[in-house]
Amino acid sequence: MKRDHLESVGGRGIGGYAPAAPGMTGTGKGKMMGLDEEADGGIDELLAAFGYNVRSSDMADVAEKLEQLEMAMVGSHLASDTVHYNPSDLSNWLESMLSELSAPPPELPQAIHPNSSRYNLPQAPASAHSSTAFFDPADALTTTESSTVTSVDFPAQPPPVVFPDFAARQSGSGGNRVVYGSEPQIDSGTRDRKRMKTSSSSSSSRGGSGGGVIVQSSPTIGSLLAPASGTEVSSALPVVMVDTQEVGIRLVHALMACAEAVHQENFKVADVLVRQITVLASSQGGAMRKVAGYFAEALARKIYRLHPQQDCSLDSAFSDILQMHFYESCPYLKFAHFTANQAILEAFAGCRRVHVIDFSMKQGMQWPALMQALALRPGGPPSFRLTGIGPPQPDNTDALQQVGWKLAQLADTIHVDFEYRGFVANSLADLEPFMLETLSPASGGSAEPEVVAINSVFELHRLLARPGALEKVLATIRAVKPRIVTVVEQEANHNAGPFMERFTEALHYYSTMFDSLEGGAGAAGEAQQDQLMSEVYLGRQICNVVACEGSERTERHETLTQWRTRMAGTGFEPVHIGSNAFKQASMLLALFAGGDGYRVEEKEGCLTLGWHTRPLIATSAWRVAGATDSSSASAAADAH
Amino acid sequence: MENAEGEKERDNTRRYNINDNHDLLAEILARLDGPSLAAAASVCRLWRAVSRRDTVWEALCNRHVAADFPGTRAVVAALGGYRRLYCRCVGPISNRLAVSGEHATTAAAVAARLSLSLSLFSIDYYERLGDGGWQRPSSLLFLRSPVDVS
Repeated sequence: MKRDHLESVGGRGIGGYAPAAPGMTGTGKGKMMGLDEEADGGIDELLAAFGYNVRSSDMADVAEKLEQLEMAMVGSHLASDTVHYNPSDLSNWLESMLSELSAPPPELPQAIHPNSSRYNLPQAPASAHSSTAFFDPADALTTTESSTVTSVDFPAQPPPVVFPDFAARQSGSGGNRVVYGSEPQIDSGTRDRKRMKTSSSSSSSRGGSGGGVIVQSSPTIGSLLAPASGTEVSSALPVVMVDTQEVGIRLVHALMACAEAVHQENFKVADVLVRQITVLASSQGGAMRKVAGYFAEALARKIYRLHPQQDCSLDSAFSDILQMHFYESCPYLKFAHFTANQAILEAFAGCRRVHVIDFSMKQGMQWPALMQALALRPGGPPSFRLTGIGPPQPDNTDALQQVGWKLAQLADTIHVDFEYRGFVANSLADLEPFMLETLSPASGGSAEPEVVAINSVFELHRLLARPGALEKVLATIRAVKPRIVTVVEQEANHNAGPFMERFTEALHYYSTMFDSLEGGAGAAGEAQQDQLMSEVYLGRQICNVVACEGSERTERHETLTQWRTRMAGTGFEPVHIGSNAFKQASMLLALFAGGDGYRVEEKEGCLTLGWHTRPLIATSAWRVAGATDSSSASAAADAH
Repeated sequence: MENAEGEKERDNTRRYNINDNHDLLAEILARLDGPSLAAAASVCRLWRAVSRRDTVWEALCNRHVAADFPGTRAVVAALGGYRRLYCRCVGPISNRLAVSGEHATTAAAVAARLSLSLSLFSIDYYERLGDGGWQRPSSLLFLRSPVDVS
């Protein structure tokens, strides 16, 4: 059974060969054959990490057989009959392929699934993105896997014919076909390099052949993470083909294996794997390459224990800049701001004095829209007070005051009565209720009671790094008695106990994020720079999630359900975000070019924004439970 | 007799020039759509001046996003005027929404479009204030069509 397993793998990797060659592993493994002294119960550990069971003692045998096979290939009639195709001339190649092929591939019994990994990758939701769109995952399992086995029974089979649209899709999705002619390849190392080279040339040709071929960028990561989407088609005669999608899958396997190795503190293995990941990633294109790069970097940091990777003093200014680019290039932050503003606006209906406390002041991009809405509301604008909280700045510039000044200018222009106060705090837990409260009427403040709203965008999860911090902040919030608390958080569980769970979750989440950035990118220079900086912004988060531990790991994202439980458990009750917010959010997303992948959903009164089927951020609104007496008290005060 | 009167009338008609009556011209231009209005602004100096009147653009904006808030005009004027509102927000928004197929003309949809436009407009104004670290106001860049610079 082990041999069969390997054969089918080998067939997938290299194409049709005489079935006499046993134990042919994918070529990348050749590199690791030298490391077969990982005596770990006789099974080669590196390959085991990929899900292939090969005895270490067999490794030399395997290497020898590989060499034999190569000699056989060179000498056989395969070499003379091979037709060379120039992968950079995609349209002509496609024409010749289509004219040559006649019948659909015969149905074959299901082969052993070579992609099974012992990690049981959670089935990624069948991403509606195009590369899986043509195939039901169940069908993919039968048709594609069977076609790989076809290649193993090589001489007896007619060249399997590919559905024309499948061929088109394949060539569209990155020029996946790579042709191996009769070039003798002595060691699998060179074969690997050759594969990389031709695949990279085909991916560059993909860029060039925009025209008739389906415009589909490199296979999306979501589809690659689902084991069923192993869409390799190798034909036997006359052309030997290799798929870069297969490389993508190996990349994911390598990432998982490396994470597992790191988790088990097996740093030698992890080191090799990290290097392999980098090589594999360079052959991919688009989002996959970037995500793999960032995860590889994070894993490398963890292996080599590079702490602290982020110089904290430069941190806040730099991360502000990055967040601005993130704000501009994709709708997540805009969605967060617009939905939170709508909830706050509705909560402030009818109030003459309002106070907003912003835990995530940064550049204050959320507040112009709210001020404008308050200015235009029926009954005129209230007097608006804003308290901004931010981290200390490295160069002693008072960024908070500058933001406040700009907001004051805007408020003056649109005739909204505005007051601003900035608080510098290392952590939100340092805040005390008395700092946030206003002057009481006795000491000169206005007689009208103030209605308070608290806003937090991507800030609360940082408090989970220190035990007790979140509870303190929630207690402070309760003490201020806000009318509404708006919370926007990432919709992912990056705070689970085991490292592997966290890693897998993060891989899925950030792959989807990067996919969405890819989808929305215009080709303009500034937009590209924005996209790049957004990727760096996300890359830092990835680094933090993967490579840090303890109090350094501040990106402790939790899902909406988890936050709901927390908030409900500390005395808050949910406020439903109205349909106005939903409509505005949907309209906002319709404006983004490439925005047909974004989805706004409403989940029990909270709004989530996601890419295709995966929600990525969630906005929720809360109020202190049992607070109806305070609102009626203020209503009574208004009546007087 | 009738011919002479007819001739005099035709003479009068011939001597009437739209450029003599700027308000009438403005009224007419106010019924144009965005691109046509921009084209009208290229005709001559007078037309350029008239077509830059904010009332003209206000009428245009109101056709896209009905402004039912009484203070809207003041706010928009403060933030830069209807012409800027149209050029930066309402126009691109309408085009983008038309492309993506959202032709909703219900009052709620139009009101949502208005509030969205105004919000984006105010964010844009805010970005242009002061120097800060942002040399270019770019929060509305996502509304521009991507330029192929390959």
